[in-house]
Amino acid sequence: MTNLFASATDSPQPVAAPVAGPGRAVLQLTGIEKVYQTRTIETVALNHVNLTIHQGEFVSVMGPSGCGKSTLLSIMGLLDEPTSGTLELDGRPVQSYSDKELARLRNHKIGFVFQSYHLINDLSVLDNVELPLLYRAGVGGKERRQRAYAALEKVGLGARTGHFPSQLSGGQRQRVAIARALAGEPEIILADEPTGNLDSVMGEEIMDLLLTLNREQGTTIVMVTHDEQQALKTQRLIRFFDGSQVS
Amino acid sequence: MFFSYLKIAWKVLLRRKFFTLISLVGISFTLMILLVGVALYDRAAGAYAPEQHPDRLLFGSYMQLKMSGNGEMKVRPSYWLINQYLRKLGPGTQVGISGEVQAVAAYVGGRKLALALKPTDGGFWQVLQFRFLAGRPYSEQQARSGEAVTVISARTARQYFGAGQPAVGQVLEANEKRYRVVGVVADVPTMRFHAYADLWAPYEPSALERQPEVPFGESELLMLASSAAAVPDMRAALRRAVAAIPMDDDSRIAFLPSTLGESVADRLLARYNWTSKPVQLFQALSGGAVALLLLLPALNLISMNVSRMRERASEIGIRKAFGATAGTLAGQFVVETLVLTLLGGLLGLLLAATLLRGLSGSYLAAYGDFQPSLIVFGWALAATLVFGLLSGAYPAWRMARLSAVEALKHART
Repeated sequence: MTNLFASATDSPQPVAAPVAGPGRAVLQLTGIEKVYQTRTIETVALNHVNLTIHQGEFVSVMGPSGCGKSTLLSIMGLLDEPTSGTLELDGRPVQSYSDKELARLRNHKIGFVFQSYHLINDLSVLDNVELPLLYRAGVGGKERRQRAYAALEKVGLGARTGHFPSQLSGGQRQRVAIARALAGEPEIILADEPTGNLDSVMGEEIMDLLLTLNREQGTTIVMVTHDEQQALKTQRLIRFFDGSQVS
Repeated sequence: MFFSYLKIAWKVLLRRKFFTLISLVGISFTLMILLVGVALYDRAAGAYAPEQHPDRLLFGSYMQLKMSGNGEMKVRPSYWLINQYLRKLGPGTQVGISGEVQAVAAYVGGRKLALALKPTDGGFWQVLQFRFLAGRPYSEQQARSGEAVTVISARTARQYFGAGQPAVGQVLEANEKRYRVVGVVADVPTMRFHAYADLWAPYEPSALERQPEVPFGESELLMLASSAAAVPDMRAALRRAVAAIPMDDDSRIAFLPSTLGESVADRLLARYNWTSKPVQLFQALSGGAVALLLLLPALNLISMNVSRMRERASEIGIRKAFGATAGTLAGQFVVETLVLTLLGGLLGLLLAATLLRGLSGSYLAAYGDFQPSLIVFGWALAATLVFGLLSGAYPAWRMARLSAVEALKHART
């Protein structure tokens, strides 16, 4: 733990990705706390986190297991509520939104990429990628398919649309997951250890894909990772320890 | 989106083949049993020839009889009693008398033909509307004079005289008595026990049946009102006629006229002496059986849906993460249950049709041309869909309320 803390202070700042200057704040976290309470134990997952994510940024979040990285991502992704503090999306606090409105915001603004892909095994690659559009009003079947094809082309899987997740390699599955996140054309992609289950070559491929997305489409990306080298390729690296942001 | 629901519903059904099979078997057998049961009852008590107007018919098969020195008995009336006192029940009411079906034997080319003979008077043919394929019924005059005439069923005509051979005017010998065939009627199912026989002949009451002052015997009174609205008047006329029967001071007769449906229920249950009110017991048992039959697959569906929750946690989490609301997810899971229920329903209809086709040729339901009732199928399917909806709604609600974070955390995809 202390080593990691030390490495946070010693580590070089990421420089690889081009920075065009901070855009408007798309996500603003102020005094965010997340406490898991059981009858006997109180666990602080996030402790007064203040963080701003700007439009077009590629931010990586690092820290040891259990330090609150994934909780942070869940709160940013409107999947979980903070115990206290304020989360603003595009300048508007989200706490007042109903469940239905939060679902709509997730659908339009946010795309998720998970470490273990989380594809629906019963659905084909194309059907998996269509998923965000399925819940979007006004998008018909034809448009859904077209956009899903386009997203799959972007990740180089245009020829695998009829396959099922079980027929793909880990890297291919993660590319499908990225295509799914892209299909809805969200402003923000939240990636939770997207290369965690992949070998280094596949991991590099996925990382390149995310960097290209950020660079060419200006998609805001927040990525949780354990891979220092990959984190260094992003514009900003945030480190967490015991629920607190340490750099 | 609905098409997508259907697609995932189909995949889910295929994924858990064993559970799907169990559920389909449960639903389809329930519907099959309901359909077959109702079809059998309908064939026994529905509006078919010869009882085409069951709402106008009453059957005096039994009466409560108390004679001096004895307790009360439930007995059949004698020919004498009906003929003497109950033949005239007012204008517009047709009255007929029939006796117990007798087993008789006829021989064709040395082969024994076991036949059921029903003795009737001429009024029998006015009360019941048989479908005559050839000839006509015998008249009251012929019946009273004891003329050796008979009306036979199409099957009997075929077996005795040969397929396509004319029967009317020919002689049929049964139990060494030669009958002249005056008419051929369409086959009557055995379940239509008031009318069923292979041949009908003029009633020749036994000495006991004809004996004056003996009210009990083995006969049956059949009554047809001019309209359904006239049935209460017919009942009242019967009561008056019964009240006019001269009796000792401590003797009493009370007729128990029953509708066709009541007589079927009575026939099904009364012989077991379970109750003095077999019709009510039949209705209670039928209602209970239907409720139980529908409840069992519903409970099975609930259990299956709840057990599916865990395995589908990942999918729920994913769908929520990408914008599905709790309502949308609940809708999806309900659609899945409904698809399963609908499939089970269609399978049940198919099974019922097959079973009824098999039953049509069996001894139990001889001549019964059974068809599954589409109206009953509609109601049964609607009931199953409602149960399916209810059984799917609770698990769907629970699944939809599952926290996306928790679902994703515990899922391994």
